[in-house]
Parts: sequence; structure tokens; C-alpha cells
Amino acid sequence: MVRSLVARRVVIVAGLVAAVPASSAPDVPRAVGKLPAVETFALPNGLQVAVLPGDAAPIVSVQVWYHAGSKDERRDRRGTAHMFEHMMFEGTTHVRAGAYTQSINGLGGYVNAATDEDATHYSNTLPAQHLDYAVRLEAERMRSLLFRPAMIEAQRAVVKDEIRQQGSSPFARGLLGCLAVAYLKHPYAWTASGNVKDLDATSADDLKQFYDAYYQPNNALLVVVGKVTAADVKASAEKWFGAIPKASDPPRPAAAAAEPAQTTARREVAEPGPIGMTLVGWHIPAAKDKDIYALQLASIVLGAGEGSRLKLRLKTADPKTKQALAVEAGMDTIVREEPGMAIALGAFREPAQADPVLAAIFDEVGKLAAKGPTADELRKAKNQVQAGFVFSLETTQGLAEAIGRSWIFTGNPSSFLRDVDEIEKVSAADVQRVTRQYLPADHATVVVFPPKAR
Amino acid sequence: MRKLLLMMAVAACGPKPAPAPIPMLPGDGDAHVAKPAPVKPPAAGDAWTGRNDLIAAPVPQPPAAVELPKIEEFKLSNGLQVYVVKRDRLPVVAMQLAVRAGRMHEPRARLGVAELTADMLVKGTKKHDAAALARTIDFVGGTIAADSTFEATLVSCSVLARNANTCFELVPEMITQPTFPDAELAKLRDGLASTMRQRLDDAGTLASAHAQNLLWGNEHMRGWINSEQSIGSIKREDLVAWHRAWFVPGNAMLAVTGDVDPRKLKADLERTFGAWRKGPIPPAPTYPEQGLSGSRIRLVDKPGQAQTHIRVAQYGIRHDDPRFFDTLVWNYTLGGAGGRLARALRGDGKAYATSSFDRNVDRGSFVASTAARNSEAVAAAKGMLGEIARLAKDGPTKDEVDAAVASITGGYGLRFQSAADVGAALIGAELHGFGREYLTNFAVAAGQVAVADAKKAASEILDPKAFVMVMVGDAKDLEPLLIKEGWRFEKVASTDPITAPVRQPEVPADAKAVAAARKLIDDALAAKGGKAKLAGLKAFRMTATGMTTIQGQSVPVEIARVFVLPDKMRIDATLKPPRAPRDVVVSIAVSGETGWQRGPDPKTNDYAVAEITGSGLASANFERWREPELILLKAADPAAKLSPGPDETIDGKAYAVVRLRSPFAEVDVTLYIDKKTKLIGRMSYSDGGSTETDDFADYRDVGGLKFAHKRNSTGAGRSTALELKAVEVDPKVDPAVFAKPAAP
Repeated sequence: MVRSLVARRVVIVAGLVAAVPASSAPDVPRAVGKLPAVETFALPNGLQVAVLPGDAAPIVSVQVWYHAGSKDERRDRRGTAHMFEHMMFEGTTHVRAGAYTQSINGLGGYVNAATDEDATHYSNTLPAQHLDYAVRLEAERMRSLLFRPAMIEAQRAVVKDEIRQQGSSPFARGLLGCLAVAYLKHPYAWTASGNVKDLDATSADDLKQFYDAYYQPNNALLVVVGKVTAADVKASAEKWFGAIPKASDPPRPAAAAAEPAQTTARREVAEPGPIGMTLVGWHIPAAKDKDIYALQLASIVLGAGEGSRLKLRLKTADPKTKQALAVEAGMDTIVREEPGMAIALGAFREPAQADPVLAAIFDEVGKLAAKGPTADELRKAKNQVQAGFVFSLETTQGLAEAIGRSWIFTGNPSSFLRDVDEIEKVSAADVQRVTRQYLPADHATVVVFPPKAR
Repeated sequence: MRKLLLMMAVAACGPKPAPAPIPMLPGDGDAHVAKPAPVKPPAAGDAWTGRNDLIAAPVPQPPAAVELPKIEEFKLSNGLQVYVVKRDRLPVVAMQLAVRAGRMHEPRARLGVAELTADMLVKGTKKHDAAALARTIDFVGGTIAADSTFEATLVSCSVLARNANTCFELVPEMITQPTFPDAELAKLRDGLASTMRQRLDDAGTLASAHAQNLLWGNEHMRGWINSEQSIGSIKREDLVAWHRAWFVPGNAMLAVTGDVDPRKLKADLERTFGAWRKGPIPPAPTYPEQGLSGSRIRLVDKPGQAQTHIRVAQYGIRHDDPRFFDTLVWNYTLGGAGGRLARALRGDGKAYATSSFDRNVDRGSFVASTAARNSEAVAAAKGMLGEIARLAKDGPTKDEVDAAVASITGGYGLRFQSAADVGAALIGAELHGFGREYLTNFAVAAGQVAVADAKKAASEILDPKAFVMVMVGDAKDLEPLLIKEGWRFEKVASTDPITAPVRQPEVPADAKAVAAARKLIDDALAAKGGKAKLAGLKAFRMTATGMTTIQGQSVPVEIARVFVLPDKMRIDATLKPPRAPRDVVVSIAVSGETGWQRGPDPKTNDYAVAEITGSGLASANFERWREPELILLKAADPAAKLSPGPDETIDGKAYAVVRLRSPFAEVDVTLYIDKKTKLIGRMSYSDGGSTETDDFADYRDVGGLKFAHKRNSTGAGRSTALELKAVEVDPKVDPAVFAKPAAP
């Protein structure tokens, strides 16, 4: 889907979050650099608002984060949340289809939207003088989307197209395959893209039900970052969102579908593909757990960058056989509002390599569990996480997203401010401990995609 | 949308910041290259027709000046100009160093040297090879990049403030001590050549390139178009020379932005950049414009191209032209989102219709662009010309001016978010001789453009009668349309080089020199084993093994070559890619006037046999004619056209040079004969752009004739190194090997 002047942002590492100790009252996290504090307030109808006054540049990012993602979907209606990401630009009571994007572009700004398992967020970046306009547009589409049959058909086709394109990536297929085996009960078994069959079965009523349940002020956070004052934001928020009545709390199907602890290993062989893959997944805690920082660092040491352990082990040619075990390797953590996963991967060409790849992955994880990372590995991993995070905060859009993600993960829009410090505190012993505790072979889900015969 | 990612990210090393920007002036890239947006005309009877309660976009207030933090300026003792901007909201430091050495400074015979040199700066310095550079910057989670643009080479580095020393160490090193390692250069050059090839395969890119060449001509730097061939012929010594000439501190500027202490910084920079010695600054080359009167149309024939890409181009303005902001406005009116071109030409919403103008110190071009189905191409071109004429005559309306100003100035603030952005913006302004006022007042100046100003500027700059036009499409469809319209045009093939090749001056046939050349050939024949012996050769077969580099990948290869005089030749190349299940065998044979080739279809991996005809056959015939073992006989022929060249030294050895004209379309073959041994050390040929070079060494006697047992070939983005394993002189050869195989 083309929205002028901006491409989709691909979130590579799903945000970092502060561990909010359950026993203490939420304190004001220390700032990153000299960022001012995030000012927060709520409207009587439950709409949360977060404001971060920005730098000198006369721009503003206005975002709305709906606490609605694919984990709120029915199991036979996957893709519902994703549909809204597209439909919300296609015509409301007072805004013609396409005019939303066009008008913001015409003011020199740009729009974007993204869906994941926990949230759907809508982003507008435009000259600061138009803050009120952006807030008005967001309030309009929160409750006034028109469910026109032709529009629904058109966007369904767009979403199905995205699913097909994604299906042509072996790595994406690998990920989806691993999640489906790792989660027996919880909706994280599927991701936000959706499923073609389910989408075809999704009626306008299904969509409207989802909209009425989740697209409500008491299920949303309005984030404003830029050359604005909290007073201006409050005035606009009250003016445009104030009249929307509070709704009942939205259903949380995931609450009744907690994933039971995985106590044994699982292994499945999936459909052959153009390239062979062995994926190994482990369940990890939710984003706000104190161990998440150490787990992310463990994952980086193991599988991010050409110097990481898995890459070196799997991609370096054996001096005897002159062959490497794999053509690609890596690891990443999926950090979510509820317990996510750490997933390691090795990609290879010969069927016989599947098991040696798996053995090598377990061996490397085992080594990290036994001895922990070196000082250099730990320092480099911390540097990379901290640098990437700080760079992302240089733009109003990046800052707004950090705020929105914090709210989704912890309920506190400011929690991201502690991330740099919390990462710094992780010790080598912490990394070793979490590796041993959360990444043992006997709790792993293994999915093998054999390479197609050639 | 699902973050597609994850497994892609599995290959990345953690979250990466956006790549540091090339020096851009605020508004560059987007503001004047108007981007298309879907403009759907309101459908009758939809949910919003006839309503008066729709939400209207706000009327923008006049744009305000942008606040910039204080800029400190000073010069280092070696003449390097430095700008420092302290912005400590976040603990980030960014460095941007620009050298005034870009495409506009390149000599015609070295197109691409700026880009190659820039790309090679990260591939090794005296203290850090490419891997060490990457490791050093990865360790701190920062980014380092080197790029070249039309006017400059930019090195940028971004890190957390606590790691600022990494940038302070690496950037001066890259600028002052690059090593340009051969292996990295070969890989990079191949990759770049390959990119060139792909880009010029794209009809839209081709149209834009031809438009520049047609507008500026072959004697102006803007008319020289980079190609696979031009990149392929650049050597390491060219990079060294380019770097030595242009990379001097007086020809550069440095911006440091972020969480820095400007006072302490000067001392740090004196220390880290101190080794960069002063040097003379070469004058920037200038070129005369060829003038533009009347119209010229170039049809670029791309058979099978169903959509024609059209460009109309004329001269633009200098960046410091007083009508610059007026031009930003009328250009947006013409070629912006929802602009006049888009409304007139994008009826079916599929093609693009935009306009843009270059923003350089010297005058550049103005280009209007669109694409249309072949059958509509002339109508679309007329539509474009019509809109240009209309705008030149009437100018934009007030509404159009307001819309343009809103769009141009609205996004302006976005350019000042990161520390790297601010540094790049500053550098961009200074490169064009503008100060910070340009940056702070850009939006204000745009907001002050009056309707009358925009109209006057459009009428002065646009000329509906003097322009060049390029159409890239299938001539089969387009020629009749153009002829019907009565438009005169020149026609070229899409595969023709865009820039006319540099003609080598014909060396006058000095009789003494030619005689000396003939003697040289005789000596070479004697060294080879004797003219009689060579002429008596009936057949030979050789096999060689080695490595060939394709698209940056090195693949083991085995080549078998059999020649039965006078005119039967067959070559079998067996490629053994590592970790592939089986070898790839490519075969080619010519016999008399026919030829065939056999190889795997890249899509299906099934083998296919095909006859070679047309230009493929001509290529094969040329290969056969220039067979290295027999070339001396061609040169010894009394009718051969020889011309001697000056001696050359290659790898410390002295060579006498003889050029031999081939019977093929004016292609010359150049022989480099070792002055001591009289053996051929190198053979090269050039077809007006592309140069292929074969090097020969390790001559050994087989059956009374000397054969080079080591052969290296480079050219056209590929390099091959071979060692002969076996040579047979006058073997029995089954004639069936030259026959076209029945089935794959």
C-alpha cells in the first residue's frame, strides 16, 4: 500500500522496556540525555495522552496507539487487526477516502501505520502549526470509519497481497512455522499479517464488531512529540476527543489462553522450501520482566552480526570438509506484551545438514550457558542496543513510537527512558544465568524445513 | 503489516540507525522532485458528494524561520574549515566531512572514479583493513559511510557521545590514508559495473540518462553517462591519482554536531586531522554549454518495451539564481503531487508525471518526465509540452502557489531532526556558498514567493520551443507515430553506449614505424616457435583450470578449448560453484559461418542448445579471429594494418606495443610484446568503451611452440585467472565435437 513520501518502518528489535518492580510505585525514570519528562494525563472518557515537548524543529508527530493487535483476534479471523491499518485511511463520515493521506502530504507531512500482535498505531508527522488538525482527524476516525463494501473488498485484496508477498520469503515462512508449533494455546501462535482463508471469511459485521470493541478512547493512547506545549495538546484532545463516550472494557481473549509452560522439547518437520532451515524457539518472559534485557543481550551475542557466535560457528567453512554447516544463521528475540520467544535459525542447502545445524545451535547456546559472554562480546552488544535505541530517539516519530510502545508493554509511557541504564547494568553472569534458565534444549521447539530436492 | 523482518533481522546486528545522509540541501531529493500521489477524481454519488460538513485541511500560516543552535566556525592550521553545532538533548555525536570532489570533476576517460574512490574509503586504511574498520564501528554500534554526489565526496560517522573518539580516529584515517586494496577494488568495481548494467536496462533510467546526454552533448560533463564499461576500465592508480589531487584540507569542510564541547573540540581536531597535509587545490573543470535552439528528439529503441518513458529537458538555473524560490514554486505547480502534469497525463492513475530541476552551483537541467503506453506516447509528449507552454504563458494561480508553498515548507523542519541531519544540512549549504541564513530562512523565502514572481520566472526559464525530448520504447510502435506527427528524430538502440566513445586519434602511418612494427612481429613469431611451424599448425587442444569472478563471487572453473584450423573452435567452461549440487557447463562452438551454444537456463536450470546468430555470432567470430595462439599470423599478414604505439611498462617489465586492426567494425587489438623475450605478455581490445585485457605468462615449450601456461583475463565486470593443465599440438579431433548437439 503506497502512502506518499514514506515507506513502512520495519521494527527490527521490538522495543526495550523498563522492568517496573511490582512492589514499588512507578517512579519517574531518569532521562536519556537531556530529554524532558513525558507529561501524561487522561480524559474523563479514558483516553490516555502523553506529550513530549520537542526540539527546535517546527514539526510534530501525532500518534494514536490502539491496544488492539492480532492477539485480540478470533482464531478463525486472523488478519482482522491488520485490515484496520489499511481501512482507517479510506473514508470516514467527514473525510473522503484518500483525503486523509493527501491532506497531510499537502501540508508537507507524511503518515504511516503498523500492526503487531499487541497494538495498532497510526502516525502523522507534520508542521507543528497543524497539531489541532491532526488530532481532529484522529478523533474523527476513532469512531467514524465508514464500512463501505467496495472499500472493504479493496483493502482485503491489498492485505492478501501483502500476505502473499511475505509468503515468498523463506525466512518469514520459517518464523510463522515456528510460532505455530511453539504456541499451543496463546494467540501469539499467529502474527498480525493474517491468513487468506480467514480474511475471505471476514464479514463487514466482524470488522465492525472489532472496531466497536477496540477502537474506543479508553483503549487508546494519544502521543504527541514535537514543538508543542502540553497545554495545546490538552486543549485539542479535549476539543476533539472529549465528546466520545467511554466504552466498556474491551475483551481480552488472550487472558483466557495463557500458554502453559513448555516442559518438553518439540520437534516438527515442515514443508520443503527453496532453502532448508532449522529453527529453534524458546519461550521467554513478557517485555516488562526484569530478565528481558539480559535475554536480548544473550540473543545478540549468539546471533546478531557477522561476529556473533552462531554466525561464526555455522557459516565458517570446516577446515577438513571445506564446507560450512549453513549459508545463513542468526538469532533474535520477539519481545511482546505477553511472553514471547527467542528464535535461532540456520539456513542450509543439503537435507543432511538439518541435524548438524541443530546440534551446533544447541552447542553454542550451551557454551554461553556454561561460560557466559566475554567482556568484549557483552560491551559490543550493549553498545549496539544502546546506540540503535538512542539514534531512534532523534526523530519525533521515533520518540513517539518509543512512548507508545512503552505504554503497550508496561502501561507507563515513560518506561523507555530507563532502557539505556538498565541495559548497562546487565552483567556477564546475568547473561549466563538467563541463557541457562530460558534457553535449555529440553524446552525448545524445533522446526525443520527441508530443502526442496533439485 | 507484520514486521517481515524477524528472520531478516536475525542477520542484522541489532537495531541500526538510519544511514548518514549525503550532503543535501533542505528540500533536496523530495521538494523539487515532485512525487506522484494517487489523484482520484471524486466519483459522482459517493458518500461525500454534495456535503458541506467535511473536514477541510487548514490554511497554513506563513512559514516561520527555523531556529538553529549556535554554529561555531574555525579553520584548522592545515586549512580545514570546521563547523560545530552543540545539541546535547541526546548523547549522540555526528561527523560529516565533505571534499569537493564529485562527478562534476571527473575526466571523461575516468567516469565513475569519484564513486569508486568514495566507496573504497571504507575498504581499508593503513591502520585498519576493511574488516577491522567494520569491526571497530560495529563494536560501538555506530555507523560510518562514504558516498559521492555530483559535487562532493562525503564521509559521515555517527556514534554515541561516549564513543566520539571512534569517529575522530577513523574519519581522518579514511580521508588521509586509504589503501585501495586490489581485491576489494575488483569486487567493488564488479558490483558497481553490474549495477550500471541493470540500471541502464531500466527504461526510465535510460530515458533520464539520454536526456542529459542529448541536452548537454558529448563535450560537457553532464552529457557523460557512467556505464558498465567506463567503471570496468578504472584502475587502482586512477583512484590513487584522484585521491592525491582532490583530497586536500583546503578543498574540504567538516561539520561536527551533537553532544560536543566546541572549545575542547578544536584541540582534538588539530590533533586527529593534523597529519592531513596542505596541498594545492585543483581548479574545478568547466565546460561550455552547447546551446539549445529548436527541438531535438531522440528515439531510443528498446524492442519489446510496451511502455514508453518520455523526458523533456531544457536548461535550468543555478542554485544562487534570484529566481530559485520562484522556481521551486512553479516547478511544484507543474510537476508536483496533483500538479498540472499529473492531472493532465495520469488519467488511469498508473504512470508518473513529474518535473524537477537540478540544484547545483553551476546551471543544471530542468526535466519533465512521464510514461505512457506506446500508442499514447506522442499524445503524452504533446500533453507535456502543452502544459509547459501553458505554465510559461499564464503562470500558476494563487491557489497553486499556496499549495506549493505549503508542501515545500511544511516538511522542511523534518530535515533537522538528528545530529547527522543538521551537520549534513550545514555542509550542503556551505558547499554552495550559502551560510546558515539559507537554512534558517528557507521556508520564509519560499513563503514570500508572489504569484507574479512565479509567473515571471516560469516564463523566463521555461521555453516551449527550445528543448530536447527522449522517448525510450519500442521503435516498431513509436516510429510510425513520430513520422505521422511530422516530428524529426534521431534513432539509437537501447544497447548503444549513451556517451559517444572517445575516439583514439589515428596514429599516422609512419613508414619507418610500421616497418619497425613488422620486425617486432617477426621477432615475436620467432620466439613463439617460428612462422613456418605456427602456420603449419593444424589443430590444438588445451585445458586450463583456475578461478573466475562473477558478480563479486569467485568460482572455480575449468576451461577446455579446441581449435581446428582454419575456422573451427569450441570452448567448454565448467563452473564449480562451492556448495552447489552440480557443476555448470557452458559450451560455445563456431564452425565456418555457423555457431551454437549450450548452457543452463538461469530460471529453470535445464540445459538448452541454441544457434548463435547476429551479434552473438559476430562476437564468437571475433573470439575466433583473435585467438591468442594464432594472432601473430594475422599480424604477419602483408595486408595487416599495423600501427606501433609507445613502449609501456607493466609490473616492472618493458613492452613494445603494436596495434592491429581487426576486420570487425573498427575494433583494434593491441599486442604488448616483452622487449626481452619477444613473447606476447598482454593482448587487449576495446570496442569503444569496453576494454578486455588478457595477460600471458609462464611460457613453456610444447611440440616446438611456446604456450603461455598462465592466463589472466579482465574486463566487463569479470576476471578470470587460469593455469594451463594440458596442451596438445595437432591432436586428432573428432569433427563431431563442433556439430550442434541434438538434444540438451
